[in-house]
Amino acid sequence: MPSKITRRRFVKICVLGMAGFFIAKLTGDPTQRTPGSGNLKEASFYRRADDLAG
Amino acid sequence: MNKVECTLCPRHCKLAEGQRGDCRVRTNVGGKLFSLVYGKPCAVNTDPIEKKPLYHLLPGSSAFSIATAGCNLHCLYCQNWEISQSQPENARSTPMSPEEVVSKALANRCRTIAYTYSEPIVFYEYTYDTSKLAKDKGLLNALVTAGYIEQEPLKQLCAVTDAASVTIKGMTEDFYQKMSKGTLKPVLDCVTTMKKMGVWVEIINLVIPTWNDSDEDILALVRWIKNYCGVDTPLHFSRFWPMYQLTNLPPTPESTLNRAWDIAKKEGLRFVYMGNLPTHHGNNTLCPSCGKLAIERRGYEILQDHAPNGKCKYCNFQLAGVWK
Repeated sequence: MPSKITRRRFVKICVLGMAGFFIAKLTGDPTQRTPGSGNLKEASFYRRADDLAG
Repeated sequence: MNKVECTLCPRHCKLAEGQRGDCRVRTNVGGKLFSLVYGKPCAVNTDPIEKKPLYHLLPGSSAFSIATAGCNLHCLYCQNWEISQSQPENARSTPMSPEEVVSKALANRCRTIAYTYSEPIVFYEYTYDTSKLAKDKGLLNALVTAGYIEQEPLKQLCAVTDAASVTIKGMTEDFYQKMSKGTLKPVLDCVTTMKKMGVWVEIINLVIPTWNDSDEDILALVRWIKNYCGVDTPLHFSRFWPMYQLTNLPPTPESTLNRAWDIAKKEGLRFVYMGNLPTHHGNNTLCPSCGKLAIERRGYEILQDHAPNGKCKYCNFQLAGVWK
């Protein structure tokens, strides 16, 4: 049976671990995210849907 | 809705929100098309200009060379497939603005910026903005490209481009379809437009055993160059080396390249070169007027230059090219 302190520590580690996991998920591997246009360069040659025939 | 159609290259990818083009580096965000690789080169080097290969553009000088991920062709033999066929996220890149590219080129005493390794057409905006700045600073701009581009963007780019080494991979639509998942006509149109717009053009042809190494294949290419570009347009036959998805073939035998060289010379092309055969005499430039050795090369190295500023010192004949 773990002591109170050990249990508190255990909970703390779990909470921090889960928080870290979610932060990594949100900010991590960019291949899994749709890029925002904030730091991208708009292309020079394209047509928008409203310009497309049909 | 929110679809866009990219009109940069002949593929005309129609992209729904979040989708990427065939090149992997242009994407639809909120009904607008964006480049994912602007200012994000994944390869940056200082190379001899002979490596591009551009043998008639300031021989012996250095070219500051940049590339990003992506390509709009998918050649089975691609030598740089690790970057050309990758997503930008998977190719490690260093942020570098057009201003930084130009200042690094000047700091490295380069006289040219080469947009190379992968395909400058797919990083069009980066190429164009950098080229404009480079021109203002007195640098030359050279494209190393497969020429798979639409005419309107090409013409805009030609206005800031001094030279191009364009690969004509084969002379049939069937070849382009099977080897590169592309088409031939836009490439030929690209070369003729570049010539018309005053860009110095050198043609590359990778000779691949069983694919494009027959006399007919070579003759078709040589005659097209002669008729549409002129006999002063350098042609580089390059030796194939088994790579990527074409490892089942042997390297091109030297005898095949010699045969190609003979055909091109016989048809009257003045400057025919051999690529990937560093010690071959086909790396040298001979004066078309007196026939003497004008520039002797070994690989990318100039051993002797008897044509300072492109003028043959034996007969004063001015060789075609960009020499100053």
